[in-house]
Amino acid sequence: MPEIIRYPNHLGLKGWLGGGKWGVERYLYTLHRVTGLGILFYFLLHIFVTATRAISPQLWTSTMNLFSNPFFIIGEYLVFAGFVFHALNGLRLGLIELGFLTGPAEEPVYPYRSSLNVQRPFMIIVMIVVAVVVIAGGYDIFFLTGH
Amino acid sequence: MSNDTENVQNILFRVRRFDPERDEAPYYQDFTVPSPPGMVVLDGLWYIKENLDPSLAWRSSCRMGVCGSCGMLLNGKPHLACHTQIREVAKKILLVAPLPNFDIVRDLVPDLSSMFDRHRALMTHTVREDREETAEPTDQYWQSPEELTAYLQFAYCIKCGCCMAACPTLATDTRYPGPQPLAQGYRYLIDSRDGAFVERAKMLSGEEGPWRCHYAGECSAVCPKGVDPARAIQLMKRELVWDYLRLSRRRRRKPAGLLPEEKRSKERREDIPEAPAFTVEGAMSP
Amino acid sequence: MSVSNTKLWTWHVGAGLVLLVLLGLQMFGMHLNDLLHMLEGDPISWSSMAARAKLVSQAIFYILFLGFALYHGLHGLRNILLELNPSQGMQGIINTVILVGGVVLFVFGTWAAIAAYGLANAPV
Repeated sequence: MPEIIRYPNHLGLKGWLGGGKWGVERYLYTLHRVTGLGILFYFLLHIFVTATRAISPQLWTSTMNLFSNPFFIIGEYLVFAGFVFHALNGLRLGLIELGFLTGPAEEPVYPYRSSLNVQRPFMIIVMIVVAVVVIAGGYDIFFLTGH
Repeated sequence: MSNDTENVQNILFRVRRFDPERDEAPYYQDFTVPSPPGMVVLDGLWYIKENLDPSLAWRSSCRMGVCGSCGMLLNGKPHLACHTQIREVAKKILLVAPLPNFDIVRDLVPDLSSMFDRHRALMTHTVREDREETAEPTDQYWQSPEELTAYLQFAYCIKCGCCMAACPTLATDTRYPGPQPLAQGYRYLIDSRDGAFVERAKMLSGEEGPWRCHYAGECSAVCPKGVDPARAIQLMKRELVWDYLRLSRRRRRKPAGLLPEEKRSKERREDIPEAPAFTVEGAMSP
Repeated sequence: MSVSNTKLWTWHVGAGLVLLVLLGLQMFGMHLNDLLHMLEGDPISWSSMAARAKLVSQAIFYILFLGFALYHGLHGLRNILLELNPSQGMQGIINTVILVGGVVLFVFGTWAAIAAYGLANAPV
């Protein structure tokens, strides 16, 4: 039997990014990953930075002064914004993945309503709350804080 | 073909070609197809084959959206070619490509065997202990309308592979089963006639499980039959987690039994007419 | 993988819920304090920080917080890395590095919490 030749055709990492054709939920999935990685990276550094409190007050204070540079303040705000999105979207995902927002199985009648339609109102509410908290945080960090 | 002979627009079909015996890699070839409103992509492909290039290869069969053969990537999204009007997805140019996340056999023909292998690996059949009854059934199993509704939606799958092409996890991960096998795995897991929940739960806690799904939802968005594999996968996670946390052990109960004695009909019901006589001599014994 | 993925995922979601509350409180205290007035003074000044570090409850909170956060974050990272289709050998390396790294960081963070408690309570 002649050897069957196949051409590999997986999308690879491009498949995570989509290119503008996909639904909102797919982009939320990608953003969830990106914010998760960003928060993790910050967190791993954070463990070491906050460990300075165990060494001496002087080391703690000088470390905190180092990070009061506006560049770091903006970075911290981005981590905050990323966390708000990741946490609230994570809450939404946790509810969906445990079957609470998917809706029950029902016989498909055209035009089809899928679990995407069922969870969409909740998704919109979550995104509005995210926007409100992120803006409030920005207001707090950049206009109210004495840092 | 549509009856509308006016308002015909020439749509450029940019088709991904690949002949494994001649080509090193896939390339695009352009064809101009006159497309009245209502003409579907499959008709466009036939036009190309009959008038422009007879070597174009694709899979199709029923041409009415029930066999699942003609799944392909149209302007970047998976659709059934027989089910999709050209003018609905394209204004001037239609990119036609084989479904991604499957190897290409030739032109628009994907190698779906990876999907079928995983489908088989997920125990997509009812498993029960009463072997004689399953082999030689004496009567129906007793199932309520609610128990039927719990899995019926997922039984509409035509195995076209569109969901597999749309899944972002499958874009990189070749070990993830994918929405179609998982949705079918759930269809059998939740079927009250199945008795193998413990084995299924064990299998699904490994690589074959739904745990690499993170609800991008694209599988449900592109499914041409409204099967909603995303819903099936999340409901499957719920069953597995609830069982792990001991919150619900109902799936571990015995599967649906036969109709109770008093509900079984002994004689033919009077309101059901007899079947008409066979028209072919000796065709089948009644 | 010998550990059940069902188990790992359930803990991931559980840890996420815990973090939603704990890290939410942390974020509100640190970044929305001027709006919500949860903590006195500048939260990252030594005096404010030491006043918190003195408390046993705070030390316990931080250790639990650290454990859940490390589990949730590193399990998420492991998911992402394993979805990139590594070879069998690479999978083993990823699992080992993440597990060992997580344990090391947890031990280090626990030491820091306990040492900070000791330092804050030490006679001046």
